[in-house]
Order: sequence, then structure tokens, then C-alpha cells
Amino acid sequence: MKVEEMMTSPVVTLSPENTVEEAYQCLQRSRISHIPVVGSDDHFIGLVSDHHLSYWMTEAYKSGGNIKNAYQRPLSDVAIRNVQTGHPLDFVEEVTVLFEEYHLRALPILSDKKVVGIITKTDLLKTFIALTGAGKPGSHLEVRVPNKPGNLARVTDVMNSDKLNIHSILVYPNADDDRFKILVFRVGTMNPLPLVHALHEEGFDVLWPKEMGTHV
Amino acid sequence: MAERNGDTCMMESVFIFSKELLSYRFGEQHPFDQKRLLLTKTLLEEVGALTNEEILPPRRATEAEIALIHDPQYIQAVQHASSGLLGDPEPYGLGTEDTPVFPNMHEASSWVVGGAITGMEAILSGQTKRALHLGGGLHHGFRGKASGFCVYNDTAVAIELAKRQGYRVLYVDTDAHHGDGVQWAFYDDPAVCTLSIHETGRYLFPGTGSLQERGHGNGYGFSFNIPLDAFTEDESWLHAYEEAFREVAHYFQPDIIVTQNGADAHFLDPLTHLCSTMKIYQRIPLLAKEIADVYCDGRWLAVGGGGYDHWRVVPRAWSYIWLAMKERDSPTDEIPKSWREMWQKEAPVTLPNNWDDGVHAYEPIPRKAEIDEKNEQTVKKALYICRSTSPFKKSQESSS
Repeated sequence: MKVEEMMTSPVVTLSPENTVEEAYQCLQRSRISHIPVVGSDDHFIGLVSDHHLSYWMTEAYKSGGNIKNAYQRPLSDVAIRNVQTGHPLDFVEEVTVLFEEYHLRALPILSDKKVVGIITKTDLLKTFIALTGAGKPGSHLEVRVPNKPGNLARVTDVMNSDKLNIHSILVYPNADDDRFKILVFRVGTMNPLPLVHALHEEGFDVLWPKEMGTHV
Repeated sequence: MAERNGDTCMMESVFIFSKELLSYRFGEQHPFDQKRLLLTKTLLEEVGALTNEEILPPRRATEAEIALIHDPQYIQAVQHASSGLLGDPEPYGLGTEDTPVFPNMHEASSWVVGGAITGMEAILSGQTKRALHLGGGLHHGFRGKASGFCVYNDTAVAIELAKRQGYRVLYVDTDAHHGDGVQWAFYDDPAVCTLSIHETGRYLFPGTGSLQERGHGNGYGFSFNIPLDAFTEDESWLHAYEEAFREVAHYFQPDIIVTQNGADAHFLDPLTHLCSTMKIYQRIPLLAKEIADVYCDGRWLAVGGGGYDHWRVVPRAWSYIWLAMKERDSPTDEIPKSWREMWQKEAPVTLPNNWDDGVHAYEPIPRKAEIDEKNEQTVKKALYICRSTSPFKKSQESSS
């Protein structure tokens, strides 16, 4: 999935002449946490956020400055300049790494130096929810398979012969035994039992659904 | 609302049934089996709790009535599928393993909707206080799509009828699967409050029914979901049910109660992972009746729903609803031998001897304390809105 498919666009922006007070009002009115500051031609200059403004105001107070004056300072004095940015054609996997590595809460998306979108941590979580297939009527299925090529295909073959639609597939390593992998499916049926039986017949280790009385 | 005339020949409760309701049938191998209606009806007859006078045959719903909830194109697709004329059934959720097409599917489904309407009309007209429509409760039916064994959403149609007559409807769904179809039908509607208590969608179909689904727009705060952990047992289940039903009723101040009575939260049910016994099925209808009496002058429509151990679990569970409606004691002792003899030959499992499951019916659940604790937190979070908002006042609406 590309960033342009999941970013918020258009973006609420302010100009460098806007004041700290106006930025606060804008955050509250739009119920957002980050505002890119853009110059003429929409060129990206920097970023202000609820956290950053609070930090800045606290510092102004501690250094004995006049709070009223601090509120009236232009964003050109306040905005963080050196921030990580992304491009609409970046992959979700790539920007997720940026979020983790730099402890980001939001990432402005630039194209031709202009702000075309923004991604927050919440957007990443929304994407994760979509990837897990939640939200479409389906049942959860977990199969433990040997960590060798061909096993996913064998499992989906069984599903195909049952005409089952797959909403999502996740593959992850078995926590303490790398000879195995766990396949997690969301399949579009209310009755996964025939599928479970078919998988048993093919010799697969079905972790869920368990029949009652045989659980951990 | 008009006062009911006490001297008319009024029946306190009616049992909706006719053989047309048995025609809703996906086939031999399919887990949804309406033989459950016959099994329940005969069990009630054998204990002397149901007479012919109490049976109200349903009428068939008209297309216009079905269209109160469903898209006309979808109704047409079901009609075409019924007669083998539908090209691609997939966009309508038909022709799948869950909802395969069967001959006269539209007609059979119209009878199911008609049953809910018949029950609702009998209540609204004052002909009866309580109606039981075990053939209904097809709560997964969507506006334009069949899902999870459900073609038309009979219950949503009946609720819509009541709503249009100015009634505030509280819908309580105790099926182990989330009551998604009914919830989405009234998601932005403040006159219909839905409460669903189900196994968490983390594992189970359909996957929705999380705490955060609270309604939308004007309907925000009128949708309640209590997703319980897999392997939840009686005590924790009943705690969730009692607290939630009582508090939501107090908060919403309903005029009529509609309950969906899927009987698939039982430990024997093959499709779910909740771990209740007959205890919850004794209690469910008693509380529903109590709340209907307190808030709604008794008005209560109960419908069926899921339940896939149709020999051992469903007949007992559903009989308790009718017994509660009739204000008869819930039996826990022996089931009439005559009933077991009537059906044992056909049944692939041994029919139960007793109404109760007894103690130690299943192996102990290893993480019981954690499951109970988590469920308790879930209930608390789900009821946050009721606890922080003052109840709706009926006097706000009616100028007396």
C-alpha cells in the first residue's frame, strides 16, 4: 500500500505569520495534533504540534518571559524546521520504520516541496486494522505450518476447494520455534468447521478454532 | 398510547408457528436447522405448557414490508435466486457456503419476516403482551446483502414497524455472534437502542461488535456491545447480562423490548467458544420479562436466532422463553420421557435426561479468573455512557 492511499488530504496548514495563539485555536477547532507551516507557494517550512507548543510555552514561562507576548509570537519563530517527511509514493512499510526509528507522531507528506498530505500514528493503526481483515464478516483461523516453501499454497488450496473468500492473511514466525510459522486468516464464513476438518485431514495443525474441551 | 381494554378476550402470550416457517432451509448438511422449532414445540406440549389456542400462525410479509429494511434490488435478487434466474449471486452474499440459494428462498424468508410482523402487530394492537417467534432472529441480514445464514432481517423489520408507531424499542441480543444486521439498521437512530452480548469478534464471526461501536450521529450512545472472551462461563456471562440489561433499560426507558435468543453460547455448541450451561437460558427470559413489565407494560417480542446443537441445547433453551412468558417455573429436573422417545431415533446424539446440565458438565476452564476479570472490565467500559448520562425522560416527549 502506498502512502497516498492512506494519508489525510487536504491538510490544515498555517503560515509563518500566524501566531502561537492562532495555532492553538486551530488545533482545537480542527481536533488535530499537528499543523504544517507553509510559506508562499505552499512550500513546506516546518511543523507545529500540541506537544511542541506546550513545551515551548512552558519554556517561555520558566525563563520569566511575558506569557501574553509568547502567545503572540509568529510561528516562524516557533515551528520545528528539521523534520522527517515522506513522499506520496513511499510504501507504508517504509514510513512505519520511520515512525519507529524517530519516535514520530506525525509525518508531513511532500511532493515538489509542497505539503500534499499528513500521516499520524492513528492512520497507521487504521491501516493495520484493515490489513487484519477486521470489519468484514468473517471467522478467525490460525494454522501452524513448517517454515518451508509451499505450505501457504497448500492451505489456501483447501480453502479454494471450499469456495471460501479470504479477507486477510498474516504470516508471522512462531515465537520460540523457528522451524514453524503461524498463518492467520480471516475467512468469510460463519461455519469454519468443514474447513478445519479438511485441514486436519491434510495433516495441518489448526491452532484456532479449537473444539471445546481441547483448548490450552 | 391507548389503554388496553381489559375485558376483551386477550391472550397474555402468543406462540408464533406454522409449518411454513420450516421451509427456511439451506439443505441437509447446513448447520442452521429449523427442526429446532418442532423440537421445542413438542417439548412444550409434552410438559403441558403449550396449547393450540396459544399458537398464532404468521402471515407472509409483503415486499413493501421487507423493503422497510432491505434494498429493492436485493429483494429482487433473492426472488430471482429463488427461481434460479439470478446471474451472479455473489454481490448479494447469496450462493455462498453460508447462505446457499434454495428453491423458494424468497417465499420462505417472507414467512420468517411475516412471523416477526405478526408478533409485533399482536403486541402493538393490544391483542397480547408477549409474542415468541422462534423461527426469526435472523440478525445478520444486511440492507443489501445476505450474511451468516440470514436472508431477510425479520427482527429489524418488526422493530421498524414499532418505531414508526412512536415506540422506543430496546433490542437485546444474546446470540453468541454479534447482532450486526440489527445494529447497523438502526445505528444512527436514537429511537432504537441495541445491546448485543456476544463472543469477541477477535475470533468469531462476524468480527464486529467491539466496545467502540456506540452508534453514529443522532444514534450515538444508543448502541451497546459487550464482547466477551472465549471460554466465558455462566457466572461471568450472567453478570454481564444482568448489569447491562438493567442499566441500559434504565437509561433508555423503552416502550417495548425485543430480544434475540440465539442459543449458541452453550458449551456444546459447535460453532462458538463460549462456555455457558442451561443456567443462562433459564435466566435470560426471566429478566427480559421483568424489565418488560417494569418499563413497557409487559410488551415483549422474543425471536429465535442461532443455536447449532439443535438436539440437546436449543429445545431446552427456547422452551424456557415460553415458560417465562407464561409465568411458569423453570424446570431443572427430568425431561418427559415421551419427548425423548419421540425424537431419539432420529437424533445422532443422546438426548438429555434433565433440563439442567448439572455441575461438572465440562472440563474446568484454566484461565477462568483472568477471563472473568477481563469481562468485568469490558462491561464497565460498555456501560460508561449509561453511567455518565442521565436517563432519557419520557415526559420530554409526551405533553400530558
